[in-house]
Amino acid sequence: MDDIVTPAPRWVVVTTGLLALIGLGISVYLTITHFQPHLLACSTHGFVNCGVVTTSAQSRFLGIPVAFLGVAQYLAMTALCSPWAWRASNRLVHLARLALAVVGMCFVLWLITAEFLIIKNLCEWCTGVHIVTFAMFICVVLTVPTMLGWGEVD
Amino acid sequence: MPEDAPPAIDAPPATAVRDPGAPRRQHKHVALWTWLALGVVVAFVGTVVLVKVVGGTTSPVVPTNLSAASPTVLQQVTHIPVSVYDKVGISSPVVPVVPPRVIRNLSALTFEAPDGNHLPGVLYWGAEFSPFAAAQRWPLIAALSRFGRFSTLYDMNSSPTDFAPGTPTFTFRTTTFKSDWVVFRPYEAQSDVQTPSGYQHLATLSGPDRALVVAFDPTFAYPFVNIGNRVIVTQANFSPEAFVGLTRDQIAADLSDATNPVTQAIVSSANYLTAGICASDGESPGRVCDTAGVSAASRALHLIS
Repeated sequence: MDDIVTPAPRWVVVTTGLLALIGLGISVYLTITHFQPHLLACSTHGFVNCGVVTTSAQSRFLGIPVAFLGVAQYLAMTALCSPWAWRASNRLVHLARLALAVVGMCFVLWLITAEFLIIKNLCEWCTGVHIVTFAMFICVVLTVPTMLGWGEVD
Repeated sequence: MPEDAPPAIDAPPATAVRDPGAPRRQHKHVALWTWLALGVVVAFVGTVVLVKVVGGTTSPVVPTNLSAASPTVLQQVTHIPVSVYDKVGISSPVVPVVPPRVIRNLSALTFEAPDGNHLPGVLYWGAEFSPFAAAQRWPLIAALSRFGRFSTLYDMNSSPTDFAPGTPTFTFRTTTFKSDWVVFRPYEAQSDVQTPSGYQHLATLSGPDRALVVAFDPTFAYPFVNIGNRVIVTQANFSPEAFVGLTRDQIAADLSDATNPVTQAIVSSANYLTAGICASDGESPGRVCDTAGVSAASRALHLIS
């Protein structure tokens, strides 16, 4: 198998770029509201209650606010999903994108579990990030292995 | 090598971009594993949601750290004798009481009741840690109880490290209030639980309700009460220092004693708040709004001539 990289379809480049920016925007907003809770605009009654979720014990991972981790993840994704990164000939760039998408998806699965089964409240803005992460995961997982030539046979 | 031999052609680099026009090779298992991964994710989320839905209702869960107020205390707070209201009036000589502000020339504040009717609205904005909100809840509960009925109230104490530490009170979190005359909409913004970033956040004002608060208090200080856009409380009617050294049971039990200074502070504040509700709902019901204590408060606030 040659160590060559198949170009990504144009729609993947555009879509992942947009998703990364959306994810970054929401993560930045959640980071701001971490410091200024009164700016958090969302439902406050019933099952959907952002305030309860964003101040729960599960809103921190290893002592770091999850919102900060989101910003870090999406800053990296914005770079890795740029047109230049998608055109990179270095396989490590594409592997990093794939790894970050998988790690991000696993973390989202943990957060969803925490919201539904531990905190027992849902955060609308967090759910927005989760949806973006899932969409990003789909695009990357469907594209990058093929680009890297994984599983190719003659 | 002969001198006229053509130069050696460099081997292609170890990493390069594939020519999109080159013949494609078959991807035997990648697609399968990819869809399997996506399927696992969808199945996992579906399972979590199913466990949640099957496991119980999605209505608000009563926090395990709250205990319901005793039925005796609840009865004492919500059924203060009319004679005590009338005897106290707005007189509180020992514990100073600050009357609420009266607002004129604003459109009436109404909220939608469960049956779809629009009734005069009472908005409360407070926090469980706040000692001033702790003090304000006593007269507010008393006043509202003359117009409707609270479901179970839960005990609460204000912050043990703040002014008037551990002021005994209640919380409006998870409480419901039913009335034929007013709709009560409480927000407990923060709990009494400390987190590294401050007291635990519980609730955020919705857009329209936020406007109701910021119009009168841009600082969002606790407590805040808006009764029908007619009467506004932007600080507690009286200082929580009045409760120092008292238990919740003692305060409630003394509410039948019109000579008790703490009772006088709570009851005179309640009469002011009741007068505000009466002014908002057309002085109904008469058995409340026509009482001597409420009438005295109404005259003092110039709500009636």
